[in-house]
Amino acid sequence: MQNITRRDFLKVGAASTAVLAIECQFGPIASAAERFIEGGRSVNRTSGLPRSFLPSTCMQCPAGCGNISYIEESRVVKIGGNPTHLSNQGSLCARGQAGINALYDPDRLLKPMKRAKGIRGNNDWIEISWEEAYDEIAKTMAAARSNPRDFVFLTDDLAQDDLGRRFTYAFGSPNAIGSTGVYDANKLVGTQLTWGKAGDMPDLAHSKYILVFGANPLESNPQFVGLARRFIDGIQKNQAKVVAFDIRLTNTSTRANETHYVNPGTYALLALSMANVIMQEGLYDAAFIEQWTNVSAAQLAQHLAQYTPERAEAETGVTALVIRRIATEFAATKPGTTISDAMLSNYANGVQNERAVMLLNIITGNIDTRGGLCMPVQYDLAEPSPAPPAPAPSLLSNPPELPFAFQQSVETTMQMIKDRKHSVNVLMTHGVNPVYSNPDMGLTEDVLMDQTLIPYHIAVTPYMNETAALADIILPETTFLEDWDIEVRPSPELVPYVSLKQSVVPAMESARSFFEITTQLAGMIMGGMEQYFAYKSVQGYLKARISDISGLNQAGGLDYLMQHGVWYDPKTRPNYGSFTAGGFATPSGKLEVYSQPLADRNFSALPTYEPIASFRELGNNEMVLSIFDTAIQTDAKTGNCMWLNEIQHDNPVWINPATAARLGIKDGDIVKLTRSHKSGEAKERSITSTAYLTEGIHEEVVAMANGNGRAESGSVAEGEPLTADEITEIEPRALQDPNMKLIWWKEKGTGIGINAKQIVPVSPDPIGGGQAWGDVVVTVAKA
Amino acid sequence: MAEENKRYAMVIDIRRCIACHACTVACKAEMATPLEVNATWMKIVEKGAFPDVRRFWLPRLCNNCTDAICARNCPTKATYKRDDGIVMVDQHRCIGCKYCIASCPYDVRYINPLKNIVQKCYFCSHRVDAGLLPACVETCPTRAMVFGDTNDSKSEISQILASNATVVLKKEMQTDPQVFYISADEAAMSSIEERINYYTEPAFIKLRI
Repeated sequence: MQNITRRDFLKVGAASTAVLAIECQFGPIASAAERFIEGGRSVNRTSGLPRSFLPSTCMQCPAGCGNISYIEESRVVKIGGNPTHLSNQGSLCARGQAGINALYDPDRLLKPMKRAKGIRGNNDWIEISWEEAYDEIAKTMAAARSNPRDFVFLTDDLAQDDLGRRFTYAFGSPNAIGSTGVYDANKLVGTQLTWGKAGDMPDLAHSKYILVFGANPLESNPQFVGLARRFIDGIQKNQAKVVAFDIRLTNTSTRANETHYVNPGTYALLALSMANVIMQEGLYDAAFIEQWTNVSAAQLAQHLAQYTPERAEAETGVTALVIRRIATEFAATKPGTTISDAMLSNYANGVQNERAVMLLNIITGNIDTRGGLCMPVQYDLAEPSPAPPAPAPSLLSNPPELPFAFQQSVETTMQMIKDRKHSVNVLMTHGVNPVYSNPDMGLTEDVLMDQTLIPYHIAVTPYMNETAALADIILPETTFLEDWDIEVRPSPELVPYVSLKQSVVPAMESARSFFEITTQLAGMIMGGMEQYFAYKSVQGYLKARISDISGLNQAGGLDYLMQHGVWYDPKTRPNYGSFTAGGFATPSGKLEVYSQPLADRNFSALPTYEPIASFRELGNNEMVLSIFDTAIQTDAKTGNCMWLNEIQHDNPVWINPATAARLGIKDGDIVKLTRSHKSGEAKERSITSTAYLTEGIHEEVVAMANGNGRAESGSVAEGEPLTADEITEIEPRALQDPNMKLIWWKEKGTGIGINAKQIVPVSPDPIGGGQAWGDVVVTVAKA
Repeated sequence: MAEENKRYAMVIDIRRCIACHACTVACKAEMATPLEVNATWMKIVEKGAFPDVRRFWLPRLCNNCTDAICARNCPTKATYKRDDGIVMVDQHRCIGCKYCIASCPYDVRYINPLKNIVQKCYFCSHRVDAGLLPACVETCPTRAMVFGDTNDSKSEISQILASNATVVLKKEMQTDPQVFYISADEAAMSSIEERINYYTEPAFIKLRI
């Protein structure tokens, strides 16, 4: 492939009608008719002088948007979006803007700390040097090497933590455990089984009819900014009709042409009844089903016949009339797509829900077409050689009872450790906070507190948090603005890209990057480990990561990324219908509407509605608890950002006024939510919170936002202001911020909320392994 | 710095706005606004009864009015209008008397709790003078905000204003606001019930004064 010059970039930009090829390199990029530059620059407020800048990748949520840090005197003073990044195209959300808070949080950890004495969690720490910390860890881990498979590494997204996986495998353990499976495993497994790729990307900007199943792309999505923009483009530029099905009012459902409230847990029945209508009325794409699925139209129609609109009306609460009308409209309006996210699949029937909704796209031929439901596209990164071989699977890495789960969930790990099904000698937690983020906080706390279960816990984190508080030793990691990595994500524009995370300012004090930590520890533990960490610099390692992407290397490789922040092939266009050349990546090469792997394990092989029994027998004061994400907080990740906490610091319990009246609850009352006792459960778990009466919620549902109710996590997250004297004592001085005395949300506001996840029992979908967050029945009463 | 033949204004297309607060935080960062106060914020209201209920929102900021009561009333002339229409506060002339806060019909002015002077949105004039868009406009994920020169009939904002029905806040005050809204809901435009979102509380807004 030829070199891509700046001239080529401009040419493509001018020729393209899509927003794809925005001019690069932060020059004056607006068209001649516009006076203003659309991003990529910033000036000092007083002097008006341009600020220096460096592009990088935002890590405040999973989306990985391209950002630009503006710098004055070695300090980041503003963060903006990178106009040349395919995902966010110059925009940056509230969380991305607040990245400065993450970098300059006065509570961030800057020295290794060791638990002084006593039990874990007593907050008695002494600061130690890196040498002392490494000595202790290397000695402990070298001794543990006699039983390497008992080393357990917990991280956030395992797919993004290649260094952690490498470290674990090099040590000789298969137990590199990611925790994103807690959220989206069921969706990933459902899509993988059906079309051979994990995940999806609805082409919202080009769609004419969008069916929203519990998804909320305007507030929360793994590709938030990119999908929100494309959703709005779809409805504003393309006049797409939007029909939303949900259990509560969201910023997305309020923008729909129609919103229908669905009884909790019945999404699959709704989708299957609509599919039934499409089959019965002969509105399906017969040629597509014949050529690209492994079932016949007749077979499918026969299977779906049980899901009549009348049955669906009785169970979902959506009328048969509406089901028939929307099914007919969807089949008749091409292109159309569904959009779903974890709120559809975080049930015990989650994989089935996902497959049922996918089926609507399949039978109408809206698969991988412009405006339809597309397969995710992203670049694969190389494994730098030599790569450590993957040790044989363990109970923890591949639990036999969850045969399809391909990214293990921390919550099942904790249960197995507690049940002593797998022993642990050393636990390392990296950038993950399972005490806060997992279901059943008590379970995770119990395990981490018990030194017979976890003899040694190393936490690698920029901040103290609920999990690090239960460590034996803490290594202060750099924040994302001081770190390097290559970031690839499913592209909302369906054109793959490579984004660089680079250090925009020097690491503060003695904070170290995970590359340094793993390399230095491997060099001390030795025993063969060190050969896998022989890269002299993180840049050398990252060059090896991108070595297979020839277009990028011709454009200049890492040097190009350091200058531009992101690269994509400007000649690439969305590859709609890629399956027509070579079929789908499934065993049959077709869309596996009938899944033999599911049949082999005695699961329903065709998309099936499996009712959630506990929802059908709700008692008078029993409700279904829904925990939802917002555009402001990313679970436990953004709690140290003051600008975000100022907006979202509390999470009152949403209750429908009709329900509240029945239960004698008024707006602002303190209410107690108790997890309904089921057989086999050890303890009662309950929380108290404030009632927030809203018309925007199903009468059988209570809802609470995620991301609040933090503990052990510092002044910002816990809403505790500092005095002027305390602020002047903060070291280094770069972290002294007079705003710390203005923190108001706990004392002058309504408080810092409570973590609702702590009362959710551990309960994975038996197929996907993803946590059934949505299955929780709680007793609601005035406290 | 201001050019005489310019007339700056902003259009916010509520059909494209998703109430994500990106503008709120971009403003906070750009202006180094302390906690407790905001030059830009999101107002959200809920209307209707289940299941026919909807949410309406309105990004709020200084209207940079043509007939700015604040500028008229400021005893020290700290508040003044540039030729291009932007209403400024000269931090060195402000004595923190709050007369302008009382005068403003839109509740957009606040005392900076760290500096004890009055501040507000001034369309990021320092950015505009450098040929950049205001911080909120630049960062908006859905391109709901458009900023530009209404004296230039070819500008995007002029074309939008010419081809869309727009509304301004409290038209009856005859201040000629220069922030125009497309498709704003009446409930969100009324001055009562300021609630910034559905996971926190109205106290945030009340603290502003």
